[in-house]
Amino acid sequence: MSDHPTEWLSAYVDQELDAAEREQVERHLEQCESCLATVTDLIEMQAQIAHFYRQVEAPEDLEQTIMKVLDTESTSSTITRAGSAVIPLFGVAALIVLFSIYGSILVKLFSFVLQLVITAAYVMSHVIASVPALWIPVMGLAVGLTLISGLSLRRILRSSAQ
Amino acid sequence: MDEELYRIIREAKQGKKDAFAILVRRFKDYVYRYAYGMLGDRMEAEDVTQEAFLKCYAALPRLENEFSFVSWLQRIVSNLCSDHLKKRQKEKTKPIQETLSQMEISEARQRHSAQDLKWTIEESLKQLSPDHRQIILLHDVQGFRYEEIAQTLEIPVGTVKSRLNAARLALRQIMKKGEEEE
Ligand SMILES: [Zn+2]
Repeated sequence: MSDHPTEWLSAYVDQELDAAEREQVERHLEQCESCLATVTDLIEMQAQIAHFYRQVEAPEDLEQTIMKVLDTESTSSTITRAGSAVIPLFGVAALIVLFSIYGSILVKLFSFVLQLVITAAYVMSHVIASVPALWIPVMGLAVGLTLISGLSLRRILRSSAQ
Repeated sequence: MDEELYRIIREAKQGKKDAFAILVRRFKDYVYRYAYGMLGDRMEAEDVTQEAFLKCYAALPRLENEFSFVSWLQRIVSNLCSDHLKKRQKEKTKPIQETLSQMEISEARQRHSAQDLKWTIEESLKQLSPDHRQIILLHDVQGFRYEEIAQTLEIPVGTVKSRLNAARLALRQIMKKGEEEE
């Protein structure tokens, strides 16, 4: 008994061998007790496994639990969907109302601030142009302010994303 | 598999909850059984079954055809179970968990010698590697043929054949050892 078809025995039990292979295994089983014992064990094990797991059943209430979770999930998602559409609408409406009431004042205020900024920029550029030594600290200040505002903006965006 | 089932799957695909409820009723044991077999814990199997059906409901519109529903559902459960096993493996690096599982095994051993029993099929299966346990469950419990297992696990049929054979021989070895320990 040199060549035991050990690697075929399982497929033999499952009837997954082709005709030639099956015949070969059967011929071997007629004369090899140890392989025959293995086949008998495999069939017995398979029956035990099938029998044991046939008795394993999901808990009675699992179905209701699943359907309940599905129901709550779908209602909450419609609420948030409606909510996320309503929020920008409210914002736009509030802006329109605000503008219609304080419109003229706002326009005046805006043009005033704009003029102030333009004047300040004009004055600053003249001052800096007349005193070249001021260039370096001013540029440093500008770069620093840009970096700080960029970083804080990033932090705000991150914390609101969470 | 019948026409009625395919009709229900098509309806569930369109998002009809009543149809999906029928699918849950019909396949909850199927899903739970596999999860329990892989994880060996009722609570965890319950969680996985619930997760699997929620995933199934969300992904159902993307199922290409209703004929492959069962193997598709099986793939969802298989993936969830291996995620859970991986998570468990990570937690096992904590010493408390490890001693617990060792205690469990030695307790089971004592129980065996005390009651003069051999390993039950369930206890023996627990000692196999997840890959071996999985392939035995797929074939003997879920009723997949070799070709279907190959498709589900995305491995060649030849690998299915050799892996299942190795798994069963390992299981036989474990059960024999249980007998000798008496
Ligand atoms: Zn032999």
